[in-house]
Amino acid sequence: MRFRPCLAVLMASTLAGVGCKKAEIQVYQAPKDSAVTAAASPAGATAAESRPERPPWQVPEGWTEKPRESGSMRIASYGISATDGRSADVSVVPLGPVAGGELDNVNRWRDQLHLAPITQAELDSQTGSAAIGSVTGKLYDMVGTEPTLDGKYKARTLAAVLSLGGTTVFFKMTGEDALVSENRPKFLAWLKSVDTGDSAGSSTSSPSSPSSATPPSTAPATTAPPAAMAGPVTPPPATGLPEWEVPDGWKPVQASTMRLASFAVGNGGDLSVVALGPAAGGTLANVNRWRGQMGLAPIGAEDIAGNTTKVQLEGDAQAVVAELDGTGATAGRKMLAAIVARPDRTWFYKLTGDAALVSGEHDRFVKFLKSVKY
Amino acid sequence: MKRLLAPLTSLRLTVTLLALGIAVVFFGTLAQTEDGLYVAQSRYFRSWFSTWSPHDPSLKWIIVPLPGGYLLGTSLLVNLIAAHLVRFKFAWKKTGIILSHLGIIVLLVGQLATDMFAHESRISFAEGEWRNYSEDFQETELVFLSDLPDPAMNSVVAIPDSLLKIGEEIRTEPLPFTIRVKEWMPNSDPTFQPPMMQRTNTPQTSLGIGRSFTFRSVKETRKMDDKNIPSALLELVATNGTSLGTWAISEWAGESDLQRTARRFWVRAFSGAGTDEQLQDALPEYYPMTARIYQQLIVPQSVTVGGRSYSFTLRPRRYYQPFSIKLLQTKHETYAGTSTAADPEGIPKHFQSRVLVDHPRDGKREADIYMNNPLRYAGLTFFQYQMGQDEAAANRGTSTLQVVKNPSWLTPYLGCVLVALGLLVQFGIHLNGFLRKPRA
Repeated sequence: MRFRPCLAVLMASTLAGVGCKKAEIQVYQAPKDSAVTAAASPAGATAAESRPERPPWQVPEGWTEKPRESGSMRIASYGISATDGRSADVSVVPLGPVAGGELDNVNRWRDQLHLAPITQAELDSQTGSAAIGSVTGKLYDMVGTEPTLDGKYKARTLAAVLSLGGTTVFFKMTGEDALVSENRPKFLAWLKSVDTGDSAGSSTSSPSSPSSATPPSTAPATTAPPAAMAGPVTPPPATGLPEWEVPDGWKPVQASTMRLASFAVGNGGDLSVVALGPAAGGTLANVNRWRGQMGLAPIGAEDIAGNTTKVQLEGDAQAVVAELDGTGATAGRKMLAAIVARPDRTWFYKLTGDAALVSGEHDRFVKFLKSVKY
Repeated sequence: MKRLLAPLTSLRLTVTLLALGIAVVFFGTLAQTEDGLYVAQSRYFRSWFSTWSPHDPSLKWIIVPLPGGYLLGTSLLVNLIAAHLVRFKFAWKKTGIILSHLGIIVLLVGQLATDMFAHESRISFAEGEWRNYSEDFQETELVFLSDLPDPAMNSVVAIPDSLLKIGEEIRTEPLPFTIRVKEWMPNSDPTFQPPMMQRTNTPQTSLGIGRSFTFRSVKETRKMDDKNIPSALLELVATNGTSLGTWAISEWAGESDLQRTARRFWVRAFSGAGTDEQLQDALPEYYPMTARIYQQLIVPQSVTVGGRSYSFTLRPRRYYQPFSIKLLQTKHETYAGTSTAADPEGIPKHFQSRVLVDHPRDGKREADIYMNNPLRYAGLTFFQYQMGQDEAAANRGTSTLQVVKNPSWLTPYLGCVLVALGLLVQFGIHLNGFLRKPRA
């Protein structure tokens, strides 16, 4: 039986193999994911930047900070408790500009206290004001009529709302009626101590608002992003709208959600400006997406140079421009689209309209691209 | 030698092992309800020993020791082979039994090989996009990318997530710095810090995405359809000891498919939507602003050392292929009338991806992939797995293919054929003997 050793070796080796599946660091070369180079981020330049670690307010005595819960919208929570077991909860929640209407919010809080909803007229008569830092916010005070807490205590909610540019911040204390009333002076003092900083006041003075990053002379107010895009979701200042010169005959119009800016060009032409992340699919994928929109077949990587032109922009920027004539459903239409890959963003400029109109706007489109200063 | 092997050849051992096998399958299946498929698989089947306890905390004192799948499989294999070695006497009338046993050996060894060498990954892309790599379902990797003289290429240093343990220091040749793992969260949620509030909170780090986000550890999921999304805090330290800063890395930022999940997550958080129906109502109002939040999550992060920039991210582990595959077109049919508010997509009827495979050696080839019609190419099998819509560009279909590499995929077929053939031969021999018997 000569095959015995062979079998033994086979078995031993399979068994040994099971035991040593070890992860190792790999070093290799791979094609880049997109045409956009992974350049140093602006964050790298500001590495030394640091922020104070204290909250921008003074925590009143007797309030204890609560640990934050995962996924919670609260940026701070405090607990207040009396020796006899009564308690109250203080929270700070920042939301975007579309944080529901004032009446909706108040009625939501009333509902939590088992109170019937009120009308706008009633609300107006019940709205007070409170100083939140250097800004005046609205103050609502409501108390339940039934003992909803542990079956013996009535609940009270004291809420202050700060509207700051695109951000709405809710400061709320809710808990046992007497304890909340007792803490009302502390709550008001706490609101007063909030450091609203330079960003207080109107939205135009907010340092991170994209509208302020754009000089009014070159981009009229209507090109500013809609409210839903400002506020807590504004990009860092370095990535706001660039400066550009709007050619004659281009009229800024209200931009839709994905767009940073929109222009009406001539009769029926539409130009959009969209900025996406640095990994926005790469030139080929985007050119093919546009080709698809114009009813054209996709092209391969080898055909990209033959189907696009390059435009040198100010500084080191370069635009890849595709000129696409529609076929089928889009016959008679034309698209002029450009991609500008920046280290932090990929910018898309797209002009669509009647073939004659778009052809006629070609030079102005290129001039516009060249006027953009990132 | 025979005496030495004798105890291993016992038929009682075979029966005991088979009985234990039934027990392991039983307890392993029970455990799946709480642990999920992947955890149960590795604990009960891809192990040498295991124990089972009820999930009810009051019954935790019950501990059932069990042999693991590896131990059972190996023992059965040893038992079977030892029996043949000891009792082997070749005779024509035993050909069938030998063949059947050979088939069982092929099955056992084949399964072991599948376990060792088979590998599943996926390709996720939108119409018009090319991919030359597939991504792991579970594992992630920390990658450092730097430029090469060829502008189209990157130098990649990929560190598997299994090496990223808290307190670990990783030093590897091509990187001019040490990586200190300060925190590792196997599953995490990103919490967005609005700019106005960024000064308010104690940030985990003031660099890169850490400026706008904090990441919190959440309970690991074990559900089949859910995925753990890890995040980590790393400090990079140059060779001369200077710190290059503490950075947050997260798969939330490195996996483009998570955009939809993340944005829905924020809509839920902002709107307070509880049910799926409420979420659907809230989407139009809140969805646009989540795009901006997402942009801040994917800002590139990099450090520059010695004039060379290294960008880094945590992404699903990648497996590069020598060919590229492009998604040409997707077909997504659902049963009429099955679309509801909670599930606007409806019940899927037919998913189909038309792809173009381009290999520098074999040239181009188009193929359709749909249920029960995978594409077999270059030792890999591509199955249709998921379908969707690119949220950033409506009407552009996206598709996810499951990519299975299993060099021993033929062994179960071969094993079964051998067992069946062996049984046929054996019965044939008996039948032949029976027919030849002189009739009384």
